[in-house]
Amino acid sequence: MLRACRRLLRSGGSIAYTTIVAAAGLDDARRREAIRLGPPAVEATAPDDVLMERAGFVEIDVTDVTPSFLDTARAWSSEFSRHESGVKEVLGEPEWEERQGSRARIITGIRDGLLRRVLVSARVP
Amino acid sequence: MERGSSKYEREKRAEFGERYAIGHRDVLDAIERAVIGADWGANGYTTVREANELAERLRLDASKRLLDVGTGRGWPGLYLAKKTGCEVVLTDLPIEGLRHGLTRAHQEQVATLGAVVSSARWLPFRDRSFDALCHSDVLC
Repeated sequence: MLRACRRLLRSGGSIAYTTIVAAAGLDDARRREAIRLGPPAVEATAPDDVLMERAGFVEIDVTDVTPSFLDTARAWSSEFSRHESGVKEVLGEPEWEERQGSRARIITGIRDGLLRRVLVSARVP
Repeated sequence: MERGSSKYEREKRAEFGERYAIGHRDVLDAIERAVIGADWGANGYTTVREANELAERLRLDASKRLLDVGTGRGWPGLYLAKKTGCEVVLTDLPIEGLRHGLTRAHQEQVATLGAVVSSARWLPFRDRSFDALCHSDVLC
């Protein structure tokens, strides 16, 4: 996907994105748990700075935004709970349960040091 | 089936298509404003503060053309275009979200060049067509 993005950018063009990743240095068991709790991007085989460099980007900056990620995940969860009946009326109970379950898994993953979120930016030479 | 789309992407397209088919509702807008600080139909983790950081890192201004990959209903691409004056193209797999995005772009008078149904792994644009590209926690 990064190579596809690189192809579309003009010389001097920029890319910036956020992504959820497995924490660095996890043993195999904890990495499997991170993959179970997080979205598919967590299965990436290399850190984003390495992937970006391989795709031909320069001036790569990777900023950890995990604290705000945790705050936002908790805020979604608590707001959905606060407005539970109204949300269930709009989305239905299964969807409410699914979204809350997904957020709970994410919060567990962050709290246990398994998941991180990073903001990545880089430029095309 | 879109060129290059995986089984996972097709499943997500169906799942998110159902989600995006639900229009703006007061309760969802209120929650979104409380959580991320805006109500563009997002349900992810990118806040307004982070979107502003994306704008800065992308050096967006009215001379730039931005591609927002996996945009959903247009967040954060439409916000970035409205904030900076740049032109934006939206892409994602579920057409339902893109429809909402284009409607909102018209309401907000955002310089949207278009919306394209496509996988993030196969983006149907000419080489070197954009000055900037963003995505937020795209699931592939």
